[in-house]
Amino acid sequence: MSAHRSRRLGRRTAERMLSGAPVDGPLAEVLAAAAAAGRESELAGEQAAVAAFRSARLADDVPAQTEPVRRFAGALTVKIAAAAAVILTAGGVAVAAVSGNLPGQQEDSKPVVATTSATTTQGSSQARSGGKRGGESGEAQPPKKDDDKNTPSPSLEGLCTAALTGNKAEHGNALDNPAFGALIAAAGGKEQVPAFCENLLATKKQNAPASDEQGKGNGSAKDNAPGPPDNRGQQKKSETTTHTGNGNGPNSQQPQGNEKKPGH
Amino acid sequence: MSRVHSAAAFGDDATRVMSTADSPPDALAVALRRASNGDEHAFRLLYRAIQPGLLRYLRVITGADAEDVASEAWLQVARDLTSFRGELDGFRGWVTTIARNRAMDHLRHLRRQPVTDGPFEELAERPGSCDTEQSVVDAMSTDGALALIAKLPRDQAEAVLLRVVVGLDAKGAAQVLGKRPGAVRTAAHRGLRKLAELLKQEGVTLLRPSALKDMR
Repeated sequence: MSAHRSRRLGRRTAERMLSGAPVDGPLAEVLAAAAAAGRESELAGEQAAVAAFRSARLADDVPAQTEPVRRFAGALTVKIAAAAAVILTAGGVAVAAVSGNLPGQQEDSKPVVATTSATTTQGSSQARSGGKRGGESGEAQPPKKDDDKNTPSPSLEGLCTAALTGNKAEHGNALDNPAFGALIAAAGGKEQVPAFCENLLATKKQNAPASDEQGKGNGSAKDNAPGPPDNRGQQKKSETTTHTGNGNGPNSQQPQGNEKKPGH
Repeated sequence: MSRVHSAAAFGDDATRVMSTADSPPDALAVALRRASNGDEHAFRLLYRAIQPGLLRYLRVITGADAEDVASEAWLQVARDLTSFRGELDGFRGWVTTIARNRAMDHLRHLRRQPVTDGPFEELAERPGSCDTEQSVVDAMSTDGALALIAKLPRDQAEAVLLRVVVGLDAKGAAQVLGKRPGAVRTAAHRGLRKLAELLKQEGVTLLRPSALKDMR
């Protein structure tokens, strides 16, 4: 086999090379060079990554692996704002389709407003006009944050939203994307994902208004709060971003990387 | 991953790390489990095992911004690791998927062709000789190899890199790319054949990074 390897690469040899099996020849050398041991310069981001890991863990005082459900239930209220941003970007395509706006364009005014519709995953346009809870949730957030520690990773909600949105948008195979591995694992299987997600998001839906009212008694009373909700939302948004930044880095951006893809 | 080992170039701590990577499946599988439970050192092990290959892959598809893209990806990994469920291969694929999605977003954002002159000229300028142990590959720098791979059509380059440099199997690479394994396998095989041809044509020039610019 090695005799005609150099002349015409056989499938088997190719597969061996691709799997990293030792093969002689110039081509194999190229591959070995490409895959050579890591260099120190390539690890320049290590400290930043570890720091992110550390702060994410600090924010995680409930061991997530053993009690994922409790973690999510407990964190839900805190996560609403973060989830809103996530959903906006996660379901970005769908939201954009509904509202006619791309997330990037109205980013400033929308994410917090979208808090209102965080659990509905639709109608960001209606959320936009009904900025009612944009202001409210903005005010209600900081206390919640204190109550509940700075929980990171709205990832399951984000993934759920993306998955459900993706399905609705006839990207039904979005779950094939490995990015959904965590979600599938948490749900206990790909088939379980829709039910799991609906459950998760429904739980959040129930919790969210309740805790809003708790956190800020007059919150929901201000349904049609006068004044410019967008501005308030904007302020709060940046605050939120800062907070979540403590715990988990570019929270609102991250699912974007995952979820945009099925949409495009 | 049998190729990503033998680095003793990182100082004491890193040497320990890389020696762990010498027996990758087990040690890294354990590291993955520990990192999922919050073990920082274990996370570091995973980072060191995966990052170099990931970065090289990103360099070929995003060029100069690869490090930023990789950093963003790792931030997300760090944050979401506790919700990851799966084995080491799956983890590798998960990280790579995150990174690739980021890279695609980035490219979309820049509205620029993924494979341009830029990256490889830059590759050529990078010091490739800081590796202390390049026993097998004395004649060929890592950057030279990457520059050659980068000359492949994008799907072939990605398929080859994901298999060889990132260390995914055909199925894992297919998942990252959102394609069928058969398609990725074909692309990778074509890529290798094309590489062999390129090597025949210009292999010698690869030995000199200064010649890279002429290659493009």
